[in-house]
Amino acid sequence: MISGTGMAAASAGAPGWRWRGPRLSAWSTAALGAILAWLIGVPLALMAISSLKPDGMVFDPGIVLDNYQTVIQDDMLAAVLRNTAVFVGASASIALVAAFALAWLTERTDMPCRRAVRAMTILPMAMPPLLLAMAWALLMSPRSGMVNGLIESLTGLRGVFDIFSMPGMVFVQTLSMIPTAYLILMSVIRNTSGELEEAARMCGAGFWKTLFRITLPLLAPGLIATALFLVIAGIATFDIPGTLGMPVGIFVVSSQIYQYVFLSVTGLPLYGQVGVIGVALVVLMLPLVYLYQRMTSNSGRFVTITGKGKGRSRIALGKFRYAALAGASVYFLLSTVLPIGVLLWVSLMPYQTGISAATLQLLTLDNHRALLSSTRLHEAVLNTFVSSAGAAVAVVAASVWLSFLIVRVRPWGYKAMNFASFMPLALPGVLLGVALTYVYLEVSPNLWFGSVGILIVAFATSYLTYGVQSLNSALIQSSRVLEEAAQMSGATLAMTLRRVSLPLLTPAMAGVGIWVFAHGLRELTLALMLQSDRNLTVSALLWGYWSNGNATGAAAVGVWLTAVMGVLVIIWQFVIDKEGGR
Amino acid sequence: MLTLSNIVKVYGRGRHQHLALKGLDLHVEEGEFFTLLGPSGCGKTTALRCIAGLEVPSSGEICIGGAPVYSSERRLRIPAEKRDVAMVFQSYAVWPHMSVAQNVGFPLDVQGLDAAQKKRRIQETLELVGLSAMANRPATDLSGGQQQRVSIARAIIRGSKILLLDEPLSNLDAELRVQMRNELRELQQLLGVTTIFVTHDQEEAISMSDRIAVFNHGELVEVGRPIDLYLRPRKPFTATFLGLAELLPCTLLETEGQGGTALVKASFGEVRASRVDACQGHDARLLIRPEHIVLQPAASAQHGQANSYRGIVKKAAFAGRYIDYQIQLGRDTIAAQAPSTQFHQVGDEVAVHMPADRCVLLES
Repeated sequence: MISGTGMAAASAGAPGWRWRGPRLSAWSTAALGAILAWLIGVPLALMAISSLKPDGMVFDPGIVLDNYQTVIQDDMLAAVLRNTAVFVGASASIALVAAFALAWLTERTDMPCRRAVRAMTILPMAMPPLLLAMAWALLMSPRSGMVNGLIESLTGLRGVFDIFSMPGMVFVQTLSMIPTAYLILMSVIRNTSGELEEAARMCGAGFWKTLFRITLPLLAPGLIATALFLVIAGIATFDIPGTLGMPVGIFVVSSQIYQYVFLSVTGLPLYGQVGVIGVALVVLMLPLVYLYQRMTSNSGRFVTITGKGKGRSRIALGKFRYAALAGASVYFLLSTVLPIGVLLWVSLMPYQTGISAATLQLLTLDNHRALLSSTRLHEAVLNTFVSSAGAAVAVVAASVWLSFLIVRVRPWGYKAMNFASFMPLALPGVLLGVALTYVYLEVSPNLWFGSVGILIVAFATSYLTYGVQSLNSALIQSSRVLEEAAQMSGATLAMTLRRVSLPLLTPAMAGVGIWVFAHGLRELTLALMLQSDRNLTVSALLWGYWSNGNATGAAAVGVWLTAVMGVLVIIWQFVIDKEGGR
Repeated sequence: MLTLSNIVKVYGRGRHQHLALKGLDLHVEEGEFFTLLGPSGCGKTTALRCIAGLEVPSSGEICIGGAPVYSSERRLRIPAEKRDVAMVFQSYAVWPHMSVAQNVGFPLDVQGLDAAQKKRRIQETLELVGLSAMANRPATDLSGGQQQRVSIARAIIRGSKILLLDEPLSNLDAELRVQMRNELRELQQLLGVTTIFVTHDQEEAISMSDRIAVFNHGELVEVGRPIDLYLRPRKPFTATFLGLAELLPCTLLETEGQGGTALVKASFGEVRASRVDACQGHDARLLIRPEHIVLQPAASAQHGQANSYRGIVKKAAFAGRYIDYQIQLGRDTIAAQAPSTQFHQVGDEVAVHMPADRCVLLES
């Protein structure tokens, strides 16, 4: 997710948008407020109520604190919290440092092949975290991992690497977070004037003094915002802890919730205890999200003021140029080449095995053939497509509407709306899944529960933040004067929107649409939490294969999913670039 | 044609309240080129945006062609798009996703003109601004000056009653600015459209306007023809904001002389000056502009000429067409500008002549 320029910079949308006929703005505000409340408020409220019910069923009578007592007295709790802190803290800080180094190298230095490195750092977004975890499990599982096998054949040492461990989880999580962190930091660095640094150099400050006195303070808001984002995303993530930690009993908050729902000792979902953890988690996340929202607004202002980046000179790395390139390429190797290589290899094998002259004989397309002719896959592809496309359309429509109100019209309560649009960030996928289960189990189970529709609602809720952030910043950048010019030409609100505002927003809308669609394709957590045999998605199918020990089948699905995602990421980058060029 | 009555505009509230316009009264005649001039933040752009309808005043009344478009008393507020007022923006606001012709033709789309008529009007208008060869170019391909022309064409194509220009020349480079100044004025004369022009550049204001309204701190300081404001201002702010000015302290000796003049005493002697306004009290200030001061070598000056004094050259700076002097005159040091036909050295004694009709008395 990319940080937008945020709200404070929206002062361009000063008072006096004269078409805000009171009716239009009041109706829009009321309607959007209701939608936001339904999408975010109701699930949260039901979750809170559920935590106070004996069996976690919302409409059961009575209010008890038993669930809170159970959770607090559970010995697991301390371990889970500690694991979460270590997992999130370590992966977020390593990803931040690595992404900053990559962004600085590609934006500010004369490292060779910068464009290629940029592409190679963004492209790994195409790899869903689940697949990345799977691929690394295939490479570094203590018994059957290919890297371990290679080391054993060379040195005789067995099981040197164990990916099913906290360091393994941190490693893979770091790999999966770098592209997003890189994208945010790249734009932060790019938008901060190089002249400011040059001015420091002309005042006699050396490289390090410039870095610490000028560069880092200027970038601080952007860095802190990125760090906050990584922490929030890290707490929410389930794919990697679920794949690499859960099988060996290392639980973080998200996988603990999954455990309570699907793998409890009693066999029944422990909704009451999930509610307790959920309430605690949201209480913990809210300040983070609030801070994040504030930071992105402030950094936006910071960045806009100084934004003048053309023609700056690059820092000469001298003899370290190629060392830097080699270092930057390591990331591509670890995040893309090795994982895709191993997935491709395993998908072409009749059973999971290493690479050797002997196994080369076994190459077969059977897995792919079986997969492509499986009706379950066809259904899953259709479900995935419908849910992702539906979510993309819903997010684009809602975000345009919301952002237009927030940035331009600014009716009463627009700040609350803006904050509400950030709320889904505070709601990790596992929790959103459970919360939506409450809502639609109680509302109309037959129609909604286990349907593709509920997936659309879930995906749209979870990606709304990204949509609103992107369109806010697009709207802030597209000058309000362009709309005023239409108004001064005699155009009504409807005509101005149709002929000027929306066409100018098209690239941003396309960018959001593609991003949401791609994330829908790779979304695992929500698809799992809300799954039924009616709404199986490709990710859920993949999870099913993997957790049933069908590594070759899972690899085959993974290869195809990655290919589609790769194409989408490339198109997305193209669209985003075009938007920036305007 | 356009009347603003007691327009007040307040931004923010509470302690952050800021009065952008403090009860503005203006009247603009039909066909006039009327300029709002003042330093940045003086409220001139706010006033323009209130006329446009892009900003809503806090109170007051605005009438266009006799009909009110805003009135706080009657709770009336006609939206911008219904006011039949066209505007050229400082940043041009040329739509980047449209071609030149699409930009210029947009106001006609609003009116629902048929295609043939529309095409003809676009062509005519583009010819008027000298862009007829560019009709099908994407608007983003154009230079700043060309975008400016697109913006002007878009504003005049509809034939609106009033044309608003919000610092339209400030983003152009110096040479182009002078050229566009003339073109814009000629175009306005040709169309005869009532034009309100906002600028902080006094040269633009003086050379283009029929009348100028000088603003400062959200208030109207003075309204008048450029020549009157320049030669016979009534307010010290007008005198210093338009052109260079020396304002010297003086005391009134004789209040009524022949031809509306007065005799005052300055630090260097007695001066006969024009009276524009009755100055309150005994103390006044004497306005004399550096370029109106006549310098001669002390030896060649006639003795006993009125408004002539002896001074010493303290500084002389060569500026090409003219020379900037600082002259010690009594207790005052005054600036003088003289053509570079003659050069007085620092330390020279010179005869300083101040023509009486260029010496203006202002309140102190």
